[in-house]
Amino acid sequence: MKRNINSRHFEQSEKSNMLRSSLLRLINKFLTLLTMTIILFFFACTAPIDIETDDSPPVVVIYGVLTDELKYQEVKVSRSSPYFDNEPNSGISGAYVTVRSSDNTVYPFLESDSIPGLYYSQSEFGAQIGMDYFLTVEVDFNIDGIMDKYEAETTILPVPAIDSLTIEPVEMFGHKNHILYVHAQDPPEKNFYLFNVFHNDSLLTQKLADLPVSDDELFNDQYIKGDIYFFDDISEWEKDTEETRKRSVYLQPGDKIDLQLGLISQGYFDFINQCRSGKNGENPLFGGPASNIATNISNGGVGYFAGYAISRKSIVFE
Amino acid sequence: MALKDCFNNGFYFKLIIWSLFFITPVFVFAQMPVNQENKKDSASIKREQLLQEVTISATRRDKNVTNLTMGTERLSIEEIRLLPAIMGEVDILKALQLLPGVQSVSESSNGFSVRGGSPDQNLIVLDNTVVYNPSHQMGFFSAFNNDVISGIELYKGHFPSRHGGRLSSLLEVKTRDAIPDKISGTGGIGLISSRLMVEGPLGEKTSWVVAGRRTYADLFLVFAANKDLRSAKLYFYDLNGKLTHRFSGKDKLELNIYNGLDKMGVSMGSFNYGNTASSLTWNHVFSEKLFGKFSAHFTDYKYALASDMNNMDVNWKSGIRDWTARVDFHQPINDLWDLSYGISGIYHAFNPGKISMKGLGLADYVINGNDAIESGVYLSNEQIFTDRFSVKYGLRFSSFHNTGKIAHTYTALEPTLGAVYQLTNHSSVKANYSHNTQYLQLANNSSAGSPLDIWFSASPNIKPQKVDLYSTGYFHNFNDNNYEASVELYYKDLKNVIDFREHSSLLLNQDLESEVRTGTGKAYGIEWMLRKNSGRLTGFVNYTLSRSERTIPEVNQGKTYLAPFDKTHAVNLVATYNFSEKINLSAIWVYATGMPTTYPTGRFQIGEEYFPIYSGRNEYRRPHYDRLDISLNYIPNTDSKKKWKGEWNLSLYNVYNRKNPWMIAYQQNEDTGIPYAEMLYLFGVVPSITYNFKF
Repeated sequence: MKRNINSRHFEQSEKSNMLRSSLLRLINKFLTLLTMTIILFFFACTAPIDIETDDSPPVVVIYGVLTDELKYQEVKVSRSSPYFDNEPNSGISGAYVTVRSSDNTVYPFLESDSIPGLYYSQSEFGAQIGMDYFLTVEVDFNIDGIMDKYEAETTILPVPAIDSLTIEPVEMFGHKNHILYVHAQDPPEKNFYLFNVFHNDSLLTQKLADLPVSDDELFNDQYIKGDIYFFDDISEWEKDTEETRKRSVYLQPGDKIDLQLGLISQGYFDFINQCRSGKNGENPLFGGPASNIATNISNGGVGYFAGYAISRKSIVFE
Repeated sequence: MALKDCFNNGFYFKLIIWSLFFITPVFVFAQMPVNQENKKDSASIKREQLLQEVTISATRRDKNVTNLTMGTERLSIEEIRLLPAIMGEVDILKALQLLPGVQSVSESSNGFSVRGGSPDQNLIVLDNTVVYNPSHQMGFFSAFNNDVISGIELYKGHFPSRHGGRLSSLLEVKTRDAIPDKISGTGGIGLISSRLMVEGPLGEKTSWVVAGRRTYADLFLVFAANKDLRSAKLYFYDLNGKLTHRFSGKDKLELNIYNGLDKMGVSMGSFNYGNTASSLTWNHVFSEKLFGKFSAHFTDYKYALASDMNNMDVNWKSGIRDWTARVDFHQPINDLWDLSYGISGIYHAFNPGKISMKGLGLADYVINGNDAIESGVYLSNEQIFTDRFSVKYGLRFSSFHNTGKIAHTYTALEPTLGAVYQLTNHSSVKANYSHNTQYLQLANNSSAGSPLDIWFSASPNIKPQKVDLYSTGYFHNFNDNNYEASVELYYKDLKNVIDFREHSSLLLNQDLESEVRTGTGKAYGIEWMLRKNSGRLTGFVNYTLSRSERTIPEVNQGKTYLAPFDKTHAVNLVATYNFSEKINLSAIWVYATGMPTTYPTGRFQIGEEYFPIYSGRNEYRRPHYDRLDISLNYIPNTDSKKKWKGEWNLSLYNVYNRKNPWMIAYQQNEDTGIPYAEMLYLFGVVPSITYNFKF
């Protein structure tokens, strides 16, 4: 039994939730805070629990995201496993992976030598705005001698430019923080955004559960100042516990922040949101019943195939 | 499960009920020539009692056997006060959950499910005024201050025709109606709250009651590890006021006001929510055989979230507001005509959400509500055919009109039918049928619900929910009505019952209706109850065996799934033992099958993260729930002549420290990355002490 709250779980989701579109993010922040307060108030405790479930049969998992950067694009093909399995999920080797564009260029993918199930495009290419891309993965998954075919498609949408970035200080939970803001004009269409944040060239938003995404429901066609990421001030490092340090990114003068803004499809936006909210299970107060995460992979596969174009901006913290 | 097979489509059950309706009268009329004298006696006893109140509240000692309406439960506030309560907060909604057929929706939540219905299918009225959110502190405490409440009455589906608009239950909460001759009061000082009620006369014909309660939960936050939480605000208060004026024996005017508010705040923002419920009622006795009641009601539930962080100045408000007018008559003419009739109209104003974001330089974000008018006309009659056989029947005609851009009207006929046949002086069989319609529902998707949930109405796209409820039962009193025993069977057929699209987003959604999915539902069960009313040991024990399921296309791939509050077995044991006038000891023991839940049966991996794969909704169950609470009431000076009388209440919640999961969360091991499950439980053993006083 751990006395003193499962704050780790809540703060984690708190931090990541902070990064959603300005209002829904704010709401989430409140809800998390409220849940935390209540739990504090009731001296709640956590305890490990053994859950017995039947294991669902394995399915093919495909995850690949194309961008307009000129690079070796990646697609990962793996196998689902029982939820509490003690080994990481295994990759699926020997699949035929290709991506075809709407102008009928075919990009074959080759399996990595070192990581089973990871496939790289044979040559470097960048996805082009306005183009559709079709993924095909063929593999004999159920070993019946017949190839099973999984397909998905994505469209690369035009992305608006970032005007500028600013970093502003804020006091929160008694902590000195800095917020990274993006300034940009939202186009009149219904849009969905994704933000990749780099701190001194290391990607902070590697995990899907930490990946900030936003729709433009609350600011459609308006000029926005959107808060994207919360940094801790370097002066807090001394005071913070080892645990907090692991979760925090400390900012000091001279640090370089890069922001990539991607314009994504509603499907991928939903997928990311569902990954985030579904990862830790149900909350009795907020959120809905546990449900499967959406996918655009055909033939009973799970995962997602997406693609987006990027606009960029950098700022040096002073 | 045998019960499931037996009633699988409810056909046999309905057949039994309908047969009872049609066969019983035949039997009765066959034995018709009964002693007319006798008949009058029993009838006049009943009438006398009716005369005492405009509404029917016959409290005969043998009511268990004679009462025409089935599935009704009463708890007096005296009974409730003796029960152990968490943190010493006497809570009528928690006490309610000890009754057969009533289930809590989550540990220590005030949300309750009646006979497999969802929490928003309960109509909760405080002196006839609807209270939309009857709880505080995210559902952990009830909005009703026990000092001003005289008692509660719960109708589990067959409600009097004067009320409608919900499928599962009617909970009537009544405030004190004493006629004090001098200023007196009650109050209490507890660990987390204090309360005070004072009442008194104002001249000969007027009396008043004022009461307040406030928690000081924020004091506990001083111990919080987090600096910001230490300065946080976290409390709620309730205010009740009542003014009664009796013009003569024939007229009574009553003004009722309730206001409650929850406040939570930290440096970066605040969250407030609360209800206001007020009413003005005029009771008039036209004659010994005609009573009238004219009333106007206002109720308002709203919440507000505000953020000041970095001068963002963001404000989000939402709520629902009702204006109601109603006229109710009761006309007891003779044995064959005991009429109740009336009319009511409600104007519902919805505010699903409005956000101002001035600090962000953004335009206001407004979701327009679709206001509506709900009205009802009803007529019901009770007939005493013989001293053994009575029937009750009624019809309510309701209509619901959306006044917004898309004007639209629904109408419904809601019949109710009930019969009681007394087998002996101590036993009876009863059968009831009701058809109810519900036009409002809560956009709530989580198991326990939250104060942010929004009420929304039926519309051209969302049909009103409907239920056919059939029940029958056998009732037996022993030992000069000291013991009451009953067994009731019920079957419910739900239509247009709502759930939500998977991964729906219900808050701040311009197109909430597109998230709604409708289908059918079914609930059935048996409730056994044994109650002991007097002697040193009093209390009750009940056992409910039940099932509740939903079938909704597009949810769970169209496959039938268990309702989230389905609990196969539920046992409640409530006992109070009077050692002496000074000391009594009470205990509650509850047991219930674990709530249905969805556990992951597989996982997929992206990068370092694992995400769950589910086989179907609510296919698993959590560990069962059980808990023992005890409390000791000690009255130091029972024979003191002093006006001030104090008593101590010591409560111990969850005596044997059972860890009942409130939430099950999945984490990844920090070193290996492999996922594991952990449960969050709210309470270990919680002791509390309260000092209550009377003056």
